[in-house]
Amino acid sequence: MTAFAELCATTNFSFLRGASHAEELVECARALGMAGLGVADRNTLAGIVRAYAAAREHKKTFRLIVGARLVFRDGTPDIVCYPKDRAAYGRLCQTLTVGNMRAEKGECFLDLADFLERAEDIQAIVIAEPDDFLPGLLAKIKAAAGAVWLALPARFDGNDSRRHRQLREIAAQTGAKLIATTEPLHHTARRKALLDVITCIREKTTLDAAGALLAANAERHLKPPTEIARLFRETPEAVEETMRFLNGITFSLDELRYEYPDECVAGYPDAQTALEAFTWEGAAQRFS
Amino acid sequence: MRAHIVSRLAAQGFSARAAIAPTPGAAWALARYGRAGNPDLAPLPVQALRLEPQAADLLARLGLTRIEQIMVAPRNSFAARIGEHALLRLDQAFGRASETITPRRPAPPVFADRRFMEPLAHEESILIGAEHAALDVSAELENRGAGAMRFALDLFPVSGAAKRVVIGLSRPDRDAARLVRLLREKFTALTAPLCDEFGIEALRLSAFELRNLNERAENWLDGKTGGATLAALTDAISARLGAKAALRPVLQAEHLPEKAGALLTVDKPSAPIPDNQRPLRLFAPPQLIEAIAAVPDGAPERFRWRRVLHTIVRAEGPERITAPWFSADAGPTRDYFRVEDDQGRRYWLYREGLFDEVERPRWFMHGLFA
Repeated sequence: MTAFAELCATTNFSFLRGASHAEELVECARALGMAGLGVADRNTLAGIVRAYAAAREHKKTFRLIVGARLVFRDGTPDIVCYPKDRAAYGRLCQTLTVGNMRAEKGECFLDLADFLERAEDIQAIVIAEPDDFLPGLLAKIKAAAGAVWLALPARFDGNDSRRHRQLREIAAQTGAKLIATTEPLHHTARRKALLDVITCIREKTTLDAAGALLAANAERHLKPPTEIARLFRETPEAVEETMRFLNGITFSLDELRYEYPDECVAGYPDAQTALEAFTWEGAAQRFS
Repeated sequence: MRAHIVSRLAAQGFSARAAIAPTPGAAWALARYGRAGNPDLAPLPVQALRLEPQAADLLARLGLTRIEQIMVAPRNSFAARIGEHALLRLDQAFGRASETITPRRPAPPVFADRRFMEPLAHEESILIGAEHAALDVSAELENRGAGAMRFALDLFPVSGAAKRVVIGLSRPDRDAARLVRLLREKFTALTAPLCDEFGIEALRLSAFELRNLNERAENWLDGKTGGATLAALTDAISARLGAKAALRPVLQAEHLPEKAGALLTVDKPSAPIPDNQRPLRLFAPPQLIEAIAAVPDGAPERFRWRRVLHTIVRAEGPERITAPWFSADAGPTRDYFRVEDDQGRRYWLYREGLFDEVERPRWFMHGLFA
């Protein structure tokens, strides 16, 4: 059987965009016989803990990698990022913090430069339509991160074969490696109903009025490796590459421990002394 | 001045407390919470600062009830805990932040009246009266840089109740001549007489639903722009034959091809042209064909349509379209293919139903490219 891992899955932590729990995605990917799963939500790492908890017992047979899908405000196409190691995970968190600090709560304003500054040891999959800007973008990311991958999506919009041919050309020209994906927003096709409902909530409309705002079909779900092999029969290397991508990542959430911040204040031996001194100072001001 | 304002308000039946202060915030506080003759803000309760309810609650829980207590608080931590807004209010009361009052007055309605010495009974003379009113309304609209979507002509007869004639437009307008022409159309279409033999003694023309309308440069070739002429034509047809008489084909943002187009009244907008490739000609309903496909979800290799066998040399697809699950007429999923036969003719075919969805999928011809 073909070995395949879906690397661009989105959970319901991509608020009002993903229609399945991380646990459901992990369970379903295992049941379908995938070798692993990559979970990446829109500008957040919030969904990865649940995915990690669901995949922990099956560590020997199933690889879970965690990351984030960076969505930019400057028109850069989405980039799905997986840190290779603990240090790169820290850099990815920093990138997200920069975006969060810039925006109101709930939003994240990122520019391509924010990512490029902290791209070292991050395996990045660019999700883009083939256009004239794409080769330049891929070259920039490759220079910053060392390597770059390019998503080869199955969208079922009538243009897949044309799009795949163009993406293959761009990949050959830039040295980017292709990654087969269905960009799942839900784990089974039956979740399309929920996806439509949350799409309506997001767009503030009703099912009857939503029209083309809803997806035209229910294909953005996890698919068994045999089906993937058939869909990508023209580009088998994009399916094989998912395994190499998976093996390039050593980072796991096991490596994270709670790290208590250093709370000493300059000029005081410890936190307690500082607090006492400040309290007396404040009291003198307040009750004088 | 204060005594004068209060007495004027009292004369109108309002009881008022007034205060004069250098800033609107301080005046607000003193008028509501101040004691006469004491202009100091410090002893007043914090509510006098026009705080948001959450901020006021929070301050109450912290035991900070008077303005003097929060005046001395460090600005940074105060803003972080209570909110920027509370700090702004404090500054506004003390004149450290500027606050301007912008009075907002509703725009007066646009209308023009005409009263007549002698009652008018003839349609033509009423129209002349309406034209005079229309010129006034048009001038006022031009002053405001506006046009109206709706005009109403009220006729006040000597005897009986007033009568109203309404004209709806497909785009904002203020041209008096066009308006009179539409009124004439409307009068022609009326079944009941405009007025009885005693005639009308006054009329009023009002403009509603004002929109911005800036004068556009007219085409120097024929003095008329195409869009404006078309709008004038559809308005004339709608005025005479009813709103549903002038329809326009529009695109609708729907995935199912048969729902993507509709005939709607001219005021309804059209959806943008989708970027997926669709044939100009669709068959309604789609025509059943016999097709042979090599791979389960691939394009057919040959198909028979109207008893002619076509061999496909090029194909692109599938474009998968699932009918909305919540609609009553949801059919099976369709896979559309753009195909070209060995004669160079291009067709739009679809297979109804995925192979795991139905027993034996049927194929249809839905449209022709060019």
